[in-house]
Amino acid sequence: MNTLIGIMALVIVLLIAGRIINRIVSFSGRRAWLLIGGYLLLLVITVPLIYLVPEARKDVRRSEVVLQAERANNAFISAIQQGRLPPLEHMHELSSWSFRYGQPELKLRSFHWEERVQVLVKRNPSLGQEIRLTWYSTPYLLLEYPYDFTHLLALPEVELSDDTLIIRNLEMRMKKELIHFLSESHMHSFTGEDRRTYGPRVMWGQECLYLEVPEHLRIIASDVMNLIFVEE
Amino acid sequence: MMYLTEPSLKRVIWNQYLFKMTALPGLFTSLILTQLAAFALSLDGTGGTSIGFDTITVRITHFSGDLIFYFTLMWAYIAGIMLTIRQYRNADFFFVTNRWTQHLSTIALLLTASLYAGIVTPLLGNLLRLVIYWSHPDNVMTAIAPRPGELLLNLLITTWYAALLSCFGYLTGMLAQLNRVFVILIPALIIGSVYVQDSGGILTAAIRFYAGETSILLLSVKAALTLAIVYPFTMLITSSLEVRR
Amino acid sequence: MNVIECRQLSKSYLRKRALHQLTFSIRENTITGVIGRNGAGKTTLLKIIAGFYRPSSGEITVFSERPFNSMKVSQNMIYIDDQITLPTSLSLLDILHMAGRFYPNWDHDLAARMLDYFNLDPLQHLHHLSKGLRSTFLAIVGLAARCPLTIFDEPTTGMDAAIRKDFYRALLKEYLAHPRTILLSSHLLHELDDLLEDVLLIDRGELKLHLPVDELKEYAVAIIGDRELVEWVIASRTVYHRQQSGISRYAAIIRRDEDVLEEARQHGLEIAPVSPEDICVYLTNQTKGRIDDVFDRTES
Repeated sequence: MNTLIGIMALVIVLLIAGRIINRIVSFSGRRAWLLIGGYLLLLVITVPLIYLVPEARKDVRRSEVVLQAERANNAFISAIQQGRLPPLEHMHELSSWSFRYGQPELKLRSFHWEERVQVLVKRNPSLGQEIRLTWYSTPYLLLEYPYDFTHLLALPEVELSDDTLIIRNLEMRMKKELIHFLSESHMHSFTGEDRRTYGPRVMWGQECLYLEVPEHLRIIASDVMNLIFVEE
Repeated sequence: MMYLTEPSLKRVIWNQYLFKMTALPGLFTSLILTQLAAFALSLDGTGGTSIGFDTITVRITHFSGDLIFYFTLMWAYIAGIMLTIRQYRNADFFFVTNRWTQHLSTIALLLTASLYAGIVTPLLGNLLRLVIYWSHPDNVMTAIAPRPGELLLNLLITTWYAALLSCFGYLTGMLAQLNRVFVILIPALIIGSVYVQDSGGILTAAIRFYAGETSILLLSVKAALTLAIVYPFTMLITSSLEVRR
Repeated sequence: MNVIECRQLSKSYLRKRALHQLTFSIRENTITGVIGRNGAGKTTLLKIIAGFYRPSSGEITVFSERPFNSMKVSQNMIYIDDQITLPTSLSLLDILHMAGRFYPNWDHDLAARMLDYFNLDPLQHLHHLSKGLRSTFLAIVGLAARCPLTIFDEPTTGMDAAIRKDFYRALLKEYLAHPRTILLSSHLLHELDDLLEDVLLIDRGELKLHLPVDELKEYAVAIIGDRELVEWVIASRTVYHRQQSGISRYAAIIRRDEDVLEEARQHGLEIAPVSPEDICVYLTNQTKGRIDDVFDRTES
């Protein structure tokens, strides 16, 4: 619907523009040439402008980024299978929280929890009355470009209420519009871009919530949360 | 006693060229208008996809100068046709010309216009990127600026294509001047060969001949040869056309 | 020297035979009127001379070259008619400048002064002008170009009488100051009497006569008087026209013949000259009777 209105407005604007241009042209060839030259000049000016614009992102070597992400994901999955903590160096640390908590028992409640997110719990003897949470993720990638959009994820609100740790996720964790500039199709054979592979293929990141708790804390989690106790 | 002037072909072609450039700015302004239309239509994106997954939705919108490019090609074809209409051709004979100088000066005009189109089209694509970037600075995912080599390449390719299309338009228009039949025949052929989509389709093969080329040098050669064959052909078949109202 | 040489020139279209076996030549630096009725073939002939049309058969040379596609002819010739359309974005001044580029003999001052005289605004555009002003402007261009061969095809269309007079005066002055070969087609022969040197009469695609105007003035005479007497005097001579304009006033127009004239005078008949325009009308007469007959018939 919006597009239709947009198109109609566009047509009206163009008719008016056309009439104005016609009036310029039929009155004097000279004025028309001013328009023609001015148009060219205006566009030539955009050339330096476009190189002065701060880059949206660096032109990174495609394969490196993808390979790294693959490695991170594989490491994550095998670690989870083995009940270990996955190597944190390859993961994005998205957020962290810490709370003072002295009670012997902790309930975990969640809203809009995604089952695919692992909850890794580690008993840390050095922690006295404190619990720490960190949210990690391996890269979410749009493969073609490649674009790491992990940072676009919305993170939950975490609050401690009485004996319950409430983790509220947004229903929609990420809703983002991304803009991609393609070069024209006749350029593709020279730039190596290929129209056909542009259904965006995504490499989904693996996420986990890393919970560090005191040694003898008992944790009761809701059903949806999949607790894994890690040793190392 | 009036001395007869011996005409210089070069001089006449140049004067005819100047005449057309001053008299027909509409050729260029129509390009500007076409491009503005294409620009406006491109603002909505020239394609896009979304990916969704429960709690995650990403919508990717593509922007490219494709629409501007195709509109420009369309303009080039029509421009080639428009220059063959009687009114314009007859005007040449008010001054000094014969049929060869008329053709040659018109061809020079079309090539000039193609060059102009070749320059402004990629640059307008750049402007599109700038405008989109300025209005959505946070959403842009890819590099905005084309590599300088790419810009020049784009310029060159677009000029060739505009030159080719305007050449075919000129042929079309001239054929129509020869015989009204062609007015129906040529569009019918074009549309027909779109429907006959198998690999024997002449139109798709012709397009692939140029568009599938990966070497700019070869493309230039192909384009130049095409112009060097089609234009003289057009000139030959219409050399007996009379100056009629 | 002959600027234009024409031998058995013919031009025909699908259904129509426009010109048939024309043979004539035009001498350098003369003003020739190309006279004929509408559709007689004047424009066709002039356009063949200008190199716009191609003859179907026969030969024609202009400046010793075949005019079609000839650069030499185009360079040294200008063709003015009332159908000329030029691109709308050009102003009158632009057109003058352009003409100056193409025609080496172009006199810009003359053109500018004439524009001023006829109250034409140089910054105006051709398609905004009325028909008369357009013809005026195009005529100015035709004169100022000073081409060795200048062709005017009905150049006075839309011009009022005063402007026509001015145009003829300008044409004459220019012709005298800078002689050139001029072809002027018009159906208003009576206005051109003093201007033309030669007349080329065309009727239904054929050349009827090609004579100097002076000879044309003497070409035919009218013998006027009592009908029977007139008819007897002229005997079996070719009569171009007969007219009864009173009870005893009957005119017969014949080719000038001294014997007949002598006889007519002896019998007291009146002898009157026939204007070139009239003789052209009679020679090209294709009507069935006269226009009066159409009305007479319906009355009874």
